[in-house]
Amino acid sequence: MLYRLLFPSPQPAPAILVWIYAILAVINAVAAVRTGIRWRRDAARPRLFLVPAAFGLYSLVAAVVLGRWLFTGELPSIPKVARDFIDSSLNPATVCLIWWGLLFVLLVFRRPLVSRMARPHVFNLPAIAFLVALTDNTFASLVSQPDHFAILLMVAATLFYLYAALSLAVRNDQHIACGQPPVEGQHREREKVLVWPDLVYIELLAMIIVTTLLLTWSLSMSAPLEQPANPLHTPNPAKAPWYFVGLQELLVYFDPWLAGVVIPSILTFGLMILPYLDHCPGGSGYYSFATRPRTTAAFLFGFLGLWLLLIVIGVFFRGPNWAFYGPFEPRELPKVEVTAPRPLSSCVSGLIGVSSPRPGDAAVPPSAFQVLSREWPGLGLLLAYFVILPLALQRGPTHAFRRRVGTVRYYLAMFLFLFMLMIPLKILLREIFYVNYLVYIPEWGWSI
Amino acid sequence: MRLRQRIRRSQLYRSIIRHPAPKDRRTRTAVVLTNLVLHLHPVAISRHAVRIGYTWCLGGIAFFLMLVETVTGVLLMLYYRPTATHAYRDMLELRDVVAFGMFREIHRWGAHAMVIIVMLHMLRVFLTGSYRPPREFNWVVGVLLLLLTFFLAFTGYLLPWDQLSMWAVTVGTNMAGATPFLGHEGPGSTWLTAGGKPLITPHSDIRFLLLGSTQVTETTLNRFYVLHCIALPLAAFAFCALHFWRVRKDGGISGPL
Ligand code: HEM
Repeated sequence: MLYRLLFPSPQPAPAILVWIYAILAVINAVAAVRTGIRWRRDAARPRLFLVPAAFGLYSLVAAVVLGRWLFTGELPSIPKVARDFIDSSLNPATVCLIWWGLLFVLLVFRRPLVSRMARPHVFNLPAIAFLVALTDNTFASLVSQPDHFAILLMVAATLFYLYAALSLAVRNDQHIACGQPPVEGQHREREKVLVWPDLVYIELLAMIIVTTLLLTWSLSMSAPLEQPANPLHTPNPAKAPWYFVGLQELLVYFDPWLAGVVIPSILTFGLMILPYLDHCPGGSGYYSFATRPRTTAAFLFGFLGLWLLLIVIGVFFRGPNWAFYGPFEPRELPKVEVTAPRPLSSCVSGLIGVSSPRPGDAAVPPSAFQVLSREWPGLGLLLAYFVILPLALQRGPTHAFRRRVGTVRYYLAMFLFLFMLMIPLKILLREIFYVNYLVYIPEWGWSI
Repeated sequence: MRLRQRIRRSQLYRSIIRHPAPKDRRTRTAVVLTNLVLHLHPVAISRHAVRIGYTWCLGGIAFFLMLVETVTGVLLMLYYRPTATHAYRDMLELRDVVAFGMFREIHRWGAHAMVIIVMLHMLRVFLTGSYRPPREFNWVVGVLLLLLTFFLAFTGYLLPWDQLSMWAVTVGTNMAGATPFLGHEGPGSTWLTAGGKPLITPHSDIRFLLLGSTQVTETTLNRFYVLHCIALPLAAFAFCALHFWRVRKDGGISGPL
């Protein structure tokens, strides 16, 4: 029995899984005891009994899984029907909508979600779902590729940090609502301590921990090395390094001049001038959500809702020919997705019953008038979006913002925000309405 | 104890380490003031700023990883030659022959970790509102550091010279060919002419500037090698110095007013 626990079954994946289940059981048991002790002391809130109970329950679940594995050698897995259902119901649009929905829920219901009652479930449910999914071979080989592990790590670390930061923000917001300073501003916290020893020892500890983790990582995973470079043989799909895969994914929705150059440049520029747009002093130096909800939501949407999400879609959901594959769908059978250009202009003229003028021959440059008379719907829409919308909004919802920051900052901020929002809008437009160009000028190359 | 005291009193020891042992308030202050590395820090710092739950040590870890990358990178340079004939074979050698060739792993996973940590550090600075005045310029420096981190990782990706690296860099640099006006596949590039001849061709556009060629070739390998090992690290360290200097000059780690 002990032998089997130490050197489990032939396939390597379950061996690791068993260990993770064991760790999960231990962590939950410890958490149950710790929160139990705290609950005994804090007799004023008897309902908090549910916290240690929940931790205990998860510990028990993990223990039962382990016990069952000892006797039958099986780990819980997702039934085939469910896997097929997940594969067939996921596509770029649903993945995006689910993820944005989760972000929305996390930000709106942050108070109940970071409460002590919710904590056991917030940590355990995703972990268990992931463990159960890992019993599928396709999924396991997908996420255990060495370079992909880094991306998993990034997603997990970002979500963990976001959750921790939101807990701190909720706590501070409660303090501020009661007229107290945030925790970082309390008298005791403002006192000075000496850098030696208070800071240098933390730094030393951090260095030791990072070194240990990095060495463990390096010992257990070798750096990938494929066949020697061969310019005659293009791999399918050829993927950019993972931190640029998000931009590569944008190529599905935008022409290369936008996806690869203009969008990243403008958004980086926006990131740089952020402190000059949101420039009110104060409200800085402590975690908070309620004192700057709109800026925070916009930034988090850009960071997690676009940058991170597009990387995840590009790395985990895109297979040969950059086609979309579900998480349990084998990559061996290549799919071909043919997308003919379907510009907005042709949809609109179809709608109002006019035969649409087709783009001309590239060799004969069209006159500006021809282009304008063909592409007016898209151009008009862009004009309305980038010019009329900020003008209209400042009469209502953004009135106070505009008064506070002034004209130049207002239009710059609105332009950058709307520009960022163009990405999700264009994704949905393509995936749901099958319109892939707002403005289609292949003769000149300026298609949007 | 005796021995320790004798060592501390010896001429050799005192010539190297000027400050007394950090035992009380005065000597602890002296340590931070006289030590080259520690003098990056102020002597005293408010309690909330040393809390792990405030900065999560992310900036410090990013810098530490940068140092790790420098050390392992120098080790790799001892074995690696950036030519089409040697690059891949040197990788194989590192994997199969070189004792403790594991520093290739440390270098690669350290690079991934650094990209992740720098992004999280940015998130932390944002969520605590620390980009606001008077720290707005340091945020700008930070964004430049973020870009430098990406480009360091990207140029390093090519160096193993295997299928993965060559095609990833091909995909990445193809986008540069689509730059408006300046890339030969970009819109508006045909508008730029000199004396009736097109100015922007596959041999003169911004992608050619990056690759030194019209495709990813040995020239590219050399270019990326120089960028990866010399130009970008120097820039990154210079900006780090500026970044740390500004953290101090902007009043130390941010806190509520
Ligand atoms: C190689 C990359 C970087 C390194 C090594 C680095 C290092 C550091 C360190 C050590 C600190 C001290 C406080 C802390 O540990 O959090 C700091 C603070 C700061 N960093 Fe960075 N950083 C990097 C990138 C960035 C980026 C990408 C940004 C933002 C876009 C940024 C913006 C700031 C700001 C505004 C502060 C002051 C924060 C405060 O006072 O609370 N840094 N950085």
